[in-house]
Amino acid sequence: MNKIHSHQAFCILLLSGAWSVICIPVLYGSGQILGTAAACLMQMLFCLPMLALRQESFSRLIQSQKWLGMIYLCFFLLCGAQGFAQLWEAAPSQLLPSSGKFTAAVLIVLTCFYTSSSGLRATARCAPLVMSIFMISVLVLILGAWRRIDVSRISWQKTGFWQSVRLYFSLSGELVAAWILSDRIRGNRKTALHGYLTAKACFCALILFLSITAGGRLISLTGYPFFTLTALSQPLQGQRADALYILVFVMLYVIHTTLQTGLVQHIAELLYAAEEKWTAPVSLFLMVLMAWLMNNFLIQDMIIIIQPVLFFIIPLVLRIRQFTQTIRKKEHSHEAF
Amino acid sequence: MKHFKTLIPVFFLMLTGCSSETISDRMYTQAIGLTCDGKLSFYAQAFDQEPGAPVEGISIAEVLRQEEAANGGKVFIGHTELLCLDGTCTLNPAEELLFEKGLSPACKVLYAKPGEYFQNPDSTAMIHMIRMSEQNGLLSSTELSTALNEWHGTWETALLPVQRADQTTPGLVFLHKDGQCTELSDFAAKGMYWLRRNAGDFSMTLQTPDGEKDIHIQKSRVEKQIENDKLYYHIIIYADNPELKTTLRLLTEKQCQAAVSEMLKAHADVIGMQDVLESANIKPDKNMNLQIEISVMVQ
Repeated sequence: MNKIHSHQAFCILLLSGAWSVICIPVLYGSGQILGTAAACLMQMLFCLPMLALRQESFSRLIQSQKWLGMIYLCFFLLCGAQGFAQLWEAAPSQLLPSSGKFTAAVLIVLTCFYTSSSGLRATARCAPLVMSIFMISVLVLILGAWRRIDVSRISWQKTGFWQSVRLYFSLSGELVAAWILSDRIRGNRKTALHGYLTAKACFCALILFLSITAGGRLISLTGYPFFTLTALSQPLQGQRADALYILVFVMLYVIHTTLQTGLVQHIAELLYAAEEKWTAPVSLFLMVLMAWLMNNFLIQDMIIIIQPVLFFIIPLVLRIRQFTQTIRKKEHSHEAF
Repeated sequence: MKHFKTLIPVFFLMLTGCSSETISDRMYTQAIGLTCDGKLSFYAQAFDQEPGAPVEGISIAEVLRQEEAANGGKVFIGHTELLCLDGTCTLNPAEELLFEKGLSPACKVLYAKPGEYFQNPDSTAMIHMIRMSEQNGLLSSTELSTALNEWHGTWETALLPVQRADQTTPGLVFLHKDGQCTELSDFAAKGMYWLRRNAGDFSMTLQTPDGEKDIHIQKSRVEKQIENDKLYYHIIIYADNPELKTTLRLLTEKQCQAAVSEMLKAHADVIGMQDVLESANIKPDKNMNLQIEISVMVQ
């Protein structure tokens, strides 16, 4: 089995999470920052049962309960479809105006076909490199927005708190991914997962903070705060930073989608105990098809409903079962003595 | 599959965008202007070139296409340094230029009649004049993103620099949503410099009983707060000459009071009053009676 190092897992989860963050469609208010922090803390708590389980728990579970494996598989197809819907809605008007809506989407999906056919391990190996480009772009974003920051625009109110908690929870498919990949992660997976949760919350809070303080009222004029922020955050007078933002935008989408296709392939391999390299590209085709046929809000609602079950309730039930089994074993051994 | 994978990077080399266009195929604008007298008129001046005749259309996209046809090159407004607008267009088309056509958020917005400005423009000199006036504490910093932020506030008014025939430095005007504009006095315009944002690192000359003396401003900071429905603007200036601190404090206080007085008279908000009110859960209203207290401290 191809193992992924914990730092590669951290990078791939964070980059995939960053895609969801940059595609946040609306800015509700200052309370959104507090909502993000609260949601992050709740997710850390919800992850405890998953982390308390043995690494191979998921593989064993779906080998015995195949129907459950199918639910996980469908979930990642939905996540991929949601990613494509976000690409279709967010990209054309903001970052890819000159290429045209359709051409840009086709080229990006073609790139995803290539990366998904290479497998998850290849993507994991290049994730630290993408991470460094991503960090540079975040730095450029901060430098460009720095001059425009007006802290008086922030008011610590409740506006947007609960909407933000709900929204942030809907953008956390990587938590399910972290559990599924747990038997493939080499090194400290707890640090990788906590690192991912903290870094993603920090990135999300940074985007919201910059949007409110540097963007001001302009952010509410157009959707997608991140993309409005990129239009306002141009650190150099003689050189536009758009190319860097476009590069990062495309790379984040490719990583996000390749993670979903890689997970579908991984689950399919566990379910049918056979390695089939065309599973990932076929799943990508299905994702695009689902995004085309299904309503985006329906996909989002389904993800919100299924997600806590997949990364919290099922691991919790498993953990309780393991615990009771251990107690029973102890009781049996006592009786034997 | 391996051969297919090797071919893919070669395919992507063709998508770098470097093969189809040369630099001469593009028109990089330094200054653009818009008027909306019935139809939209678009004025453009490329770097180191004289401006061409204005083109007309019904939308931004159409006037850009017309300009491309007239000029024979694709118009790129991403490096534009000056946007010239008057009361006919106001700032309404600027939003589309910023978010959809890639106009720089740091672009300076000049209040002037484009028809007159583009007759004999020296955009390089104008941009340098505005920038140096801002750096030397003579003019409050204004740019497209700040102007649009003010424009979309409750008071729907933006502060813009204006070219004056009888003066060497530009002045400031409040541009209202209905296209009307109100010019600030020079004294009030200096007060606006302190009130709008943190600034500094320039020298100024003060009149004292012993004659004219120079003082260097290291930096300045403005703190805003609200108490009992009254807005407080506290300006802290860090200067190097201890003898002139009182003179500077008194002068700045008077300048700021003049700026606030003229701003309220013009029914405008260009000093972030709305943000302060909203932070205290007060819904801003254009006709509300606001009390503003100014205090200055020189350190």
